[in-house]
Amino acid sequence: MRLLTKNKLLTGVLAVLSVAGVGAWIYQLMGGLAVTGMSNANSWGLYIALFMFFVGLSAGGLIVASSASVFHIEKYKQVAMPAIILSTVCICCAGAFVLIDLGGIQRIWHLFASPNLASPLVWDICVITLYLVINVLYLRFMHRGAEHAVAVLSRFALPTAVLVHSVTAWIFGLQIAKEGWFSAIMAPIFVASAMDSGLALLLIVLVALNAAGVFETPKRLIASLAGLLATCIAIDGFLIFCEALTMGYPGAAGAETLAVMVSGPTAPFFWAEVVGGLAVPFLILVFAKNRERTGLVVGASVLVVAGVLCKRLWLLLTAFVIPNIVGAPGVLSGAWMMAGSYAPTAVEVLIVLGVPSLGALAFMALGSKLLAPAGAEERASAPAAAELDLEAQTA
Amino acid sequence: MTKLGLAISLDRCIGCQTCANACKMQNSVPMGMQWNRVVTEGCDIMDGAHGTYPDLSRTYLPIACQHCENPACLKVCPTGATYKDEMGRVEINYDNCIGCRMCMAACPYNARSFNWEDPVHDPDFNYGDKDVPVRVKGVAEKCTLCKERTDRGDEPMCVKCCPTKARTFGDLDDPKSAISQLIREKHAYVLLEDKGTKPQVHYFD
Amino acid sequence: MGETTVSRGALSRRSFLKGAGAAAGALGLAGAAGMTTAQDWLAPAKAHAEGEERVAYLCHQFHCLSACCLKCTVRDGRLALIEPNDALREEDQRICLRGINEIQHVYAADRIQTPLRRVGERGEGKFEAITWDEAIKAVADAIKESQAKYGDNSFFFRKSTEASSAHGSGYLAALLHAETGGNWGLDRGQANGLDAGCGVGAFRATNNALAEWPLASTIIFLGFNPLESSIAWTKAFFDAKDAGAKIITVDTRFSPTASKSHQWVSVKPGTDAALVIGMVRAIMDEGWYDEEFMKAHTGYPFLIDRATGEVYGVMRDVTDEKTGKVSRKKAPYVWDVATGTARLFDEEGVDPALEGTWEVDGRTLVTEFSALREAYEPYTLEWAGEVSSVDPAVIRGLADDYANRGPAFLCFGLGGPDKYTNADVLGHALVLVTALTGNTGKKGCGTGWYGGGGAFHATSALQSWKLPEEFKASKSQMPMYDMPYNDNNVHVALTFGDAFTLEAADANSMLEWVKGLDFFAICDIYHSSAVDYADIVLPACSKFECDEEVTDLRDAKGYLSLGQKCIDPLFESKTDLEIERLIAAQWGYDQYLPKSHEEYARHRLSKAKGNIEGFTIEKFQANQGVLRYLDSDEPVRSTLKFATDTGRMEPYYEKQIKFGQAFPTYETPNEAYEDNAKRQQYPLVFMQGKSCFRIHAYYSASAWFQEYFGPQVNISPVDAEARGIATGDAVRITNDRGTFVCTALVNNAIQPGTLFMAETTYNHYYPEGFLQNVTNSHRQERCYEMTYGPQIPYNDTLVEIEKA
Repeated sequence: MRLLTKNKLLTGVLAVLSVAGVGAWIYQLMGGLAVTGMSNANSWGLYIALFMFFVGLSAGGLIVASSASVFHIEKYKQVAMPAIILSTVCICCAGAFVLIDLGGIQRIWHLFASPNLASPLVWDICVITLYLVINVLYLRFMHRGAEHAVAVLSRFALPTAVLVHSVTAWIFGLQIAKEGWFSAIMAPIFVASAMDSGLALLLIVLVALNAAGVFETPKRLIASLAGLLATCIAIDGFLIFCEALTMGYPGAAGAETLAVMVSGPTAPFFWAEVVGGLAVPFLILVFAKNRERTGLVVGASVLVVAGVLCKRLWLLLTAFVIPNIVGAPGVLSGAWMMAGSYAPTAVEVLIVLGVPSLGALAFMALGSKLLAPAGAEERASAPAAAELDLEAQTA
Repeated sequence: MTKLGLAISLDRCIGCQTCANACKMQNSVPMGMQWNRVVTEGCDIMDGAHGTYPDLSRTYLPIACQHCENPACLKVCPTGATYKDEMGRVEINYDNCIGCRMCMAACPYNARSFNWEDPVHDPDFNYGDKDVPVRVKGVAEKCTLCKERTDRGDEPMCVKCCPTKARTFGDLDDPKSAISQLIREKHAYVLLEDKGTKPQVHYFD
Repeated sequence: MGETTVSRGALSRRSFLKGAGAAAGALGLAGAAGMTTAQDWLAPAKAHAEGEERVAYLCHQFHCLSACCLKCTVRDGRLALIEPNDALREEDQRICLRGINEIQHVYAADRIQTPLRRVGERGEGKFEAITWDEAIKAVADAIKESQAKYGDNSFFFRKSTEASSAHGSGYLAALLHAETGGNWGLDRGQANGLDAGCGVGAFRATNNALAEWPLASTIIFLGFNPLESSIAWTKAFFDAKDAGAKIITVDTRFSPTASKSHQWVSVKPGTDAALVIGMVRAIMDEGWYDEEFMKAHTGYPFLIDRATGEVYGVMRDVTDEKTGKVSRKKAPYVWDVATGTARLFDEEGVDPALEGTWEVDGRTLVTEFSALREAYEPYTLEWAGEVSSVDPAVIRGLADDYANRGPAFLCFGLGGPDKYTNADVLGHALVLVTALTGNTGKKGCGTGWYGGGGAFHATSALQSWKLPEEFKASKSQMPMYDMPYNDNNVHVALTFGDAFTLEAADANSMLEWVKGLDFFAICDIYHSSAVDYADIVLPACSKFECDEEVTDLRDAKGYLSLGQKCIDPLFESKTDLEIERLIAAQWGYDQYLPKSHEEYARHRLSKAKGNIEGFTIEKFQANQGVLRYLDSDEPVRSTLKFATDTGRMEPYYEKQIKFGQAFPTYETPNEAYEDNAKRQQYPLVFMQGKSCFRIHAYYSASAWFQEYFGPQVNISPVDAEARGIATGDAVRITNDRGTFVCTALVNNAIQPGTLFMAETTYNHYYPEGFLQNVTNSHRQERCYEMTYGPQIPYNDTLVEIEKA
């Protein structure tokens, strides 16, 4: 519990946010989802965006760790433990957001009693569960130092990691109703986004652990991971460009959706991602010299994480802006305006802050228990600021 | 097989909202929700018009669940709460609904409403047909094609109450039914045909 | 994302609080049995409570005149379901959203629940709950005191359109010798002009039903929007369309009816008369008139003295065939072509000339038709086009369709062109055009108002309740709408329903006058606009509530309906009959009124013969409350006998020579005309009309309708843009008479230069003021000499609009 007790201020803040989040969730259970900004016109909001986001964030860890075994990239092995802890915490956060978003969580047992195997949500729940199990086993094996078991497991872990993002993507990508989602490229985009945001978060965490003196990562490794991050950003950007071009070129329905994205209500998020989350960090990390500078790497990583969060928002919300049929029965909102719009309420914001806070606490607890002491245990708790920064970004 | 559906004459639809209110009453639809409503096509207000005065046109479009033959909502429902019944209607088993709203994202027609809170009824009791199930907070709902009435052999309430007889209810699988004949003779079409959902609600001019 | 959130949660959660002691100002929120819907959140979805269900039948028939017979399912003492009564023939079963929404509206939060006494200033709306005894005594004392001091006619009594008119509408006025406010001023605009020519004596000029629309070749709707105002009857519209009739709608607004018609003619507000005069001219110029009809059934061949304008004829005694009454009437001469002499129009073997000028005994005589040609010389198609802004070719086309395609209907509305000061000119012009073409008295044609379905068989065999001779209402001093502007003896008023703001324009003047009364009591179901000004408020119940098993006996268009009780009177409300009896009892006059609805119904059926022979209460009860008139299988048809002095359709109004209106002479409306200098300040014409969500102000309180309808003004994009107004903005509408604030809807369907709003809505739903604050109350002087008196020109109103 070193991480928790050494960083009392941070722990305190996270604990308060966690309690507030849980309180807000209980309030939501009592009042129903009406306490959120969601509506019949815009039936998914921050929770689902954050679900996508955290599924993605959890990727970096597992992919790095399992690549170490699968592709025998020895240097990655060093960071496998913090990577897997991060991955575990993030996937739990993702799962939490799905549950929080359910309007009838008390009836969730029907999901197991009578699952509809055609539903991408059922696939996703299966894959996420599998993914979580793999993470936990990974932690267990690594903790015990069971090298062989880790090697075997990682052969399952890598495809599962890819699958978990694809299936999450299919929740959206298979929806014929939504022009903004219905696309075969959705799964590759999700994998790419997962890779870059997950890696970026891992880098931030490693640097923070470094600073906290809990776990030391060689600078060279940071630079190497940063290089991988640059590649992922490039792929992500390329896929988004492919998608946007395909949407816009025919000048038909897709172009309307594209217009919402590039100049409509979700444009701020779109451009924040394209510029802040892709272009700028890429331009930083593409130069080897920059990758040597931890500050720049962390800065670029923060931008990537924030950018991907923006992407989750535009990806989700753009699809709701233009309904296929204006003023359809489920869309009743006031006397004349028949389309919907969405702004999260305080309850949603509290919950959305609370879940990652709880996650951060869990990470600190697990980290304290599982990470090898880095020798410089007595170092002051000042660098916790780096982690605070991280929280602010993920929130 | 029976495949129940509706055929709606847009020429005869006068946008009076009688069907919308009949539905609200029959199915005890709470405040803030509509299973069925009539929109003025292409307008953001009721009784608006297309064009520039005085060169105007107006089409009213009544919309509810399209009871698709290939329902997008059904596939994505994780618990099977949404199902296609033996009469060809798309129905919801409210007990099984976990409120994930996959169906709402999936429906190309925005046909579904969600009980975001405890349903508010005004007047404050469950008006409507006594056989219509009560819905609670956290479940999705939509037009059932008046399951309770049609099970008894009656027409849906919107059909019964339509003042201009714009709505025809019947079995699409029976080529001799009035609805099948209308669809053939009037060259009826369906909404968003390109989505491939094969709606069982047909429209004609 | 961002700017505005969806207003899903914005719907106010109205729960019914129990409590008769409605606090001052907090009117109307308390309520019925406190049923809540608190469900166990883990409970499985069950069907509705297995409550006890029963059905009751009644005739809805509020003032939309649709007379829908309804089947009401009552569960646990609450209205649960309303459907058409299936005891009627299938084609007669009807309902619309207004009947359905009674599920909510009957229980609306705006119901007046207990008798109330004003505690604040008049208009402030502060009240305290009192008992029925206190309320009735206060009302009676005020009436007694006033009548003792100022005489019988110092007490004004009126049952407004909003109130039940099923029984006793005149009885209380008669028992208490009340002033009843004379002419109504509503819906009779065209009728003033039609009456002298058709002599029907009602505002529906010809006497058939819209069941004949499918027999027509052409149907012209003049400011008539039945697809919103008479929804329950619209099947006939489509039946006519299916049968091949060409339907043309003339309206300033692209109304729902206009959008479903084959042709829409956009006309400038208040200029419909010019359009019809243009049609008259076209029919004359093109020779599209029906000479045979004109000679046989109209006054066109009658001779008039060119010098005086008087009809050339002799006064003679005429005996009424039915009543045997003898009266002196003028018999006009015609020019007999065979003999070349002037002979009485109804002499045997006369062959009248339709046109010509002759000298007889030093007089120059001319036929009415020739005189019309001369009089209408200036009214060219171009003139008509210029005034009405309708293309002359379109006017000519209208005339062509009306005169030449076969039987044609010319249907006008109530709520459009009749609400201008020149409506009588329009009505008169309609007589001209009908008399030219003979589109009357035959199958599939007619001119008139077909709202409420037109004319159906009714019965004359229902017995009226007789009061002793001495009970008669006072001779009216003046119409109610005149009272704010002229000295009168009214000191105390009692209205059932809101008469003062619905049946008068310029509400500020009217309510100022009401404030000056010694006492004003209102009996109403809902907190209508006038309630705030009352000293005593009496809660009436809706038609669905009754304290006995049967309610009102009513004509239901082809059927007679005996209503059944659905639910007990809610809160402390009472039926109109009971309230009337309570008031009458203060004088000991309740003995003269029916003791119950049943007694009243039995009395009315006591000599059931003719087309209701054998109708008894028991038979009604056995047949879901309705019995079809025995003659309903035969359609009602207009005749070619007109109730004029000559029995013919008379285009020439001798009595209006002094007004220059012997033939309809076009005149501009009082305010809403093009060159009015007032336009500088108030450039827009403010019009009101029907909406499917209202019957006048009724249903303002419906929470269901409030989800998408409220006080909203429709404005054209041109006018909106010029003023920076967007849909959803709060806007202020102003003129010299007053101001109010409501919500704007920018609507392409609105003619630039005009605003359109659905007829009123209770004042407390507006952010400020209400629509009647700006409407025009001008009284057209010449109409005082017409059958129905001046029409209230609600639409003859100029305003300016700005963002509030």
